Amino acid sequence: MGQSLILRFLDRIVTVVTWRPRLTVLVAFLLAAFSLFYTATHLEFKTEQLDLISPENRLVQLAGRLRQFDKLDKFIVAIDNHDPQRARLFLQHLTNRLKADTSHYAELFYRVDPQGFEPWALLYLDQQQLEKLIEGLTENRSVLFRLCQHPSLVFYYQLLNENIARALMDEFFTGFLYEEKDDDEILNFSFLTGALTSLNSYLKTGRYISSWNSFIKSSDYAGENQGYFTTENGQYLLLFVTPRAMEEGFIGARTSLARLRLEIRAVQKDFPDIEVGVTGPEALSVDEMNASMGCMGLATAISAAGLTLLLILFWRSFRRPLFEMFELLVALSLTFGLTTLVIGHLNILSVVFAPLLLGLGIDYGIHWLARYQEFRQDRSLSTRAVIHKTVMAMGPGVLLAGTTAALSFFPLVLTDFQGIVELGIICSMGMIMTTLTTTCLLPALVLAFDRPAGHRKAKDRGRPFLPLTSGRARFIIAASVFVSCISLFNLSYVKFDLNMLNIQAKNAESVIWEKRLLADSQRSSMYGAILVPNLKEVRQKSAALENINTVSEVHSILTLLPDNQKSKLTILKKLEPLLPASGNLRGSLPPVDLHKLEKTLAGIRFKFGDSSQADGALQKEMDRVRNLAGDLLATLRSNEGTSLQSRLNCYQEEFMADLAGKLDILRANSSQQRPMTQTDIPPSLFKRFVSDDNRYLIRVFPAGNIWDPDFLAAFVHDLQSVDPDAIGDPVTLSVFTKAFRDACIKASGYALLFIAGLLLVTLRSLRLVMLAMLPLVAGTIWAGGLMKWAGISLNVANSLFLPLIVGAGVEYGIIILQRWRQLGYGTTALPFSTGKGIILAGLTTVIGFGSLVLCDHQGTASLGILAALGSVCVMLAAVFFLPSVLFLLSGESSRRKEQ
Amino acid sequence: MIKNTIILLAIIFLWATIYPQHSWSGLPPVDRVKTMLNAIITIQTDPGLQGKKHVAERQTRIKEEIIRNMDLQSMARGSLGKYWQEISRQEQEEFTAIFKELFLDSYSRMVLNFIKQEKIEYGAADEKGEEAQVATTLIRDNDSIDVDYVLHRSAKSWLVTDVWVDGVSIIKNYKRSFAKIIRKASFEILLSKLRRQQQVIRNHSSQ
Repeated sequence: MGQSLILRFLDRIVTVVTWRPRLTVLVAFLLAAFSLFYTATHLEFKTEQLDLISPENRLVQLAGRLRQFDKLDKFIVAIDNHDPQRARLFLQHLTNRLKADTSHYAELFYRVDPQGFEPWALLYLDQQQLEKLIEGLTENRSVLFRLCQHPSLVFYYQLLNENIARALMDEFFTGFLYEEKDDDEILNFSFLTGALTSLNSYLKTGRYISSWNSFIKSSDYAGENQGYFTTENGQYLLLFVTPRAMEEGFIGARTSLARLRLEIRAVQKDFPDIEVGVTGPEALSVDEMNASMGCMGLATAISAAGLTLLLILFWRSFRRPLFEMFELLVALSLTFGLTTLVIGHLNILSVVFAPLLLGLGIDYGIHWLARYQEFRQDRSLSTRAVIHKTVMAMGPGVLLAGTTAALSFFPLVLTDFQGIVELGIICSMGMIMTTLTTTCLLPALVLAFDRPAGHRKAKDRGRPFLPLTSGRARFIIAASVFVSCISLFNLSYVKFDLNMLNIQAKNAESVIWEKRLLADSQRSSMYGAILVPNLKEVRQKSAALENINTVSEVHSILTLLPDNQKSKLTILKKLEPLLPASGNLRGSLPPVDLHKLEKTLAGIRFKFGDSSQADGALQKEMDRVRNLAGDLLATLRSNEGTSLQSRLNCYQEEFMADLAGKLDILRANSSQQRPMTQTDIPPSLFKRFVSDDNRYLIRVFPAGNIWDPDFLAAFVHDLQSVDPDAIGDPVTLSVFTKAFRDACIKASGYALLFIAGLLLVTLRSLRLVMLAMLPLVAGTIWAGGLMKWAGISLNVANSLFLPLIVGAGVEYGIIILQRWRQLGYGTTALPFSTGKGIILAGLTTVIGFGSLVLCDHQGTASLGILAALGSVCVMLAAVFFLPSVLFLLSGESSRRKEQ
Repeated sequence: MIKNTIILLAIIFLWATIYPQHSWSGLPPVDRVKTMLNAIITIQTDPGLQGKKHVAERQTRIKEEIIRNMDLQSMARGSLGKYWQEISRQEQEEFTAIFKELFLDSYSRMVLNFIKQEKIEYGAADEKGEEAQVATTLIRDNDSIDVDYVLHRSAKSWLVTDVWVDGVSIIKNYKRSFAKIIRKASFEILLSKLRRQQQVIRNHSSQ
């Protein structure tokens, strides 16, 4: 009854589409063209991990609270900082250009003005450092006071020389009296080397480097970095860019990133020696999406070309492969249009659907054309009659297989993983579209444009694909069962690798630079985030977090404020008598006396002349001083005359002004009456820790490798034990990877159950259902076994393979069973045309999936490998294992009938 | 004739008594310093005393030169400054004995390190009564340092009582360091530190 209804329906369809076949083709073409246009103008891209999770997910809702902080600093520009002055010059050029482009960049964050922190700069030192500072100033009190009284560069070096002589005296005559002092303290020449380096640099390059920073060097904001951001060991200078186009989604972010890179390349023309790269969360997402989209384009093209070539080779004809590819591309275009209409966007998972669809959707056309070719051998029939016969013979199978495949993707919708839900919808629509074009467009195409295949005799007519005997069938079954057992054993060794780093694109600029920054920093750039309503909770939760082993650092608005301010302010009072008045330093200075400076430097070098008696670090330090003094002496003796004199005078002015500035900071700190409060924090920093609605962000940095799934789980667990609403990248990563793995497993299970149910309804026989699913089950087990030998782990990307091949795997079983049924369940072996069709269909699926191997994105590539491997195994099970089982079962039933 | 001879000898005796610095037993300040430094350079450059195995011997001979040319007693007293008066005679004696030993060791080590084949330029002596200062410049390649010697006229001759290296006095350095310890702790503590160092030096010498 059902069968005849389908046949009547197919009869109507074939009558309509072949009434005016060229018109049908034209309508299909126009529909495809419209779909592509609609897609190009309306389809969007979503790139973030959270976009893949259901919007109802609690994590996604919690993440919404972080939006204000999350939209900042999306791109990080890392600038090689081997020459800090030059790196800063590069930064200045770049920021000037970016600031002019207000349409693309909302904010550039690269420096916190140290002036804002200066009145409290010393409070950032710990108490021990403060005591040391006071001790240092006490020791150098005489030098400072004398210099401020008689400010002159020569006098400064004379004072230094005198100090060295004194140190020498101490070393030879009274050093033993200071036995409680450590060696470093006695033999520290950093102040001298700083002064020599500064003068050397100025005379050689004209750039002034402060040698006074050692006074307050421990403050990040007012110290050597002068408020600029660098990586932990200072190898890279950092610029944080907030793109304005974030609101416009992926396309806007991609444009901003591309422009940013263009601007960088433009500035680099003047700084060819400086290496610069862009990374950051948004850059990683955009690059990943770009890689996936590039991969999709390349894989689709290669897949289409490979499929065409394969069909040409199999059918030894150009015309029919072109029909097939045309039909398939129409289906693909329609799927794009429907995706745009129904979903509106592609995500990082669904962006690869096109090549998959090519590989999966082509099967129906292949089966259809294989049967068409078989019927075409009958010269007595007209083309129209052959087409009608083909539709009637193949139509039910194609409709059932197509619907089954479409429905096999439907269970993906039942997972609560948005990325998989969307992929499921798209693939389901794709399978329906390919079934539709196979049923409606292919007959019209063939009728309109096919020509008889010439006089080539069909060699395979009536020939079985695999001549079976009872013994051969038993052997194949035994071998299949044996391989299945081995594979099941191997399967237990296959691990699920949750490490997301292992699936990223290797060559993306942002990935390369992210790894460089990670290597250059002691802690991960990813952090857990906790939002609290008041400072009291910030204190409480920060204290709790700091006691957790998996936590390395806790940053909040409170960490921006110095600790123990009250007691430090008391200590700072001791500074006051140690600081000379700086007025003279800003007055007119005497010209630098070259002769005296040379004599003083010669005296310094003399004392460092023989370092052979010194050991290790001291010898190195002495050599450094000698070389620096030597360089300076060479410059002074180079007879540059007035130019040298004027440069020395300029340096002297900058040097004294610098000292005056530092003394002013010290004095401001020593006379500071009140502690620093959060209102004193510069707004650019403040808004990174306090939201507009006065909620406080606590950033929690992990103490281990966040990419290690076990550590990640422990870290997230610890984080959530302090605050169940903790969010941030590690939490997202942890939830995402587990949710994805679970969704894949769930989707595979649903798909199997769903298909089994559908087949049961259609075939109305449990035995036939089991037979139809045999290639899928056996092939999947074999593929799993091969994974161990091939060294492939399941990961967050390739675990999608099972739900993807369920449809294709069942399709082969259905086609074979359909043919078996048409042949009256007899012992006749699988006909050659059917076997050839299945092998061809299997190879096309392999090409479709295999094209993904070319992707830079390692996850997508591994999905391609695994899905291709799975398809081969399912195909082999379909053409060898299932026919053998059917052969034996037919023999049994024949015997029973005979009895 | 005999009478004339006696008168001449008497005049010579008287002259020698009144002007001992010009006597056969006393050199003028510059010559004193020059003699000392030449002797040291001779020791340091003696081909028979080169190499590490002769360091101890060279040091011993340098120490002999120091004893011959420097007034260690006066230096010990000067290094304590006002505290000299505040300690007992016995402590003064012990301090002086230890100081001499330590100074000899330190100064000879410095000389071993710094004076090798340097060219030395001598300035004129600046004499003021019983005190004199001799400026010298040690020149090595193109580098140089100023070393000034302070001398005191003793009963027999001019003897070195302090050395200034690039404007820093050895005795003042001692004085500053000793005073710091006495101020912070006590003379006894200083003395105990000196004793300990003396022991270290002795142990080192006996090895």
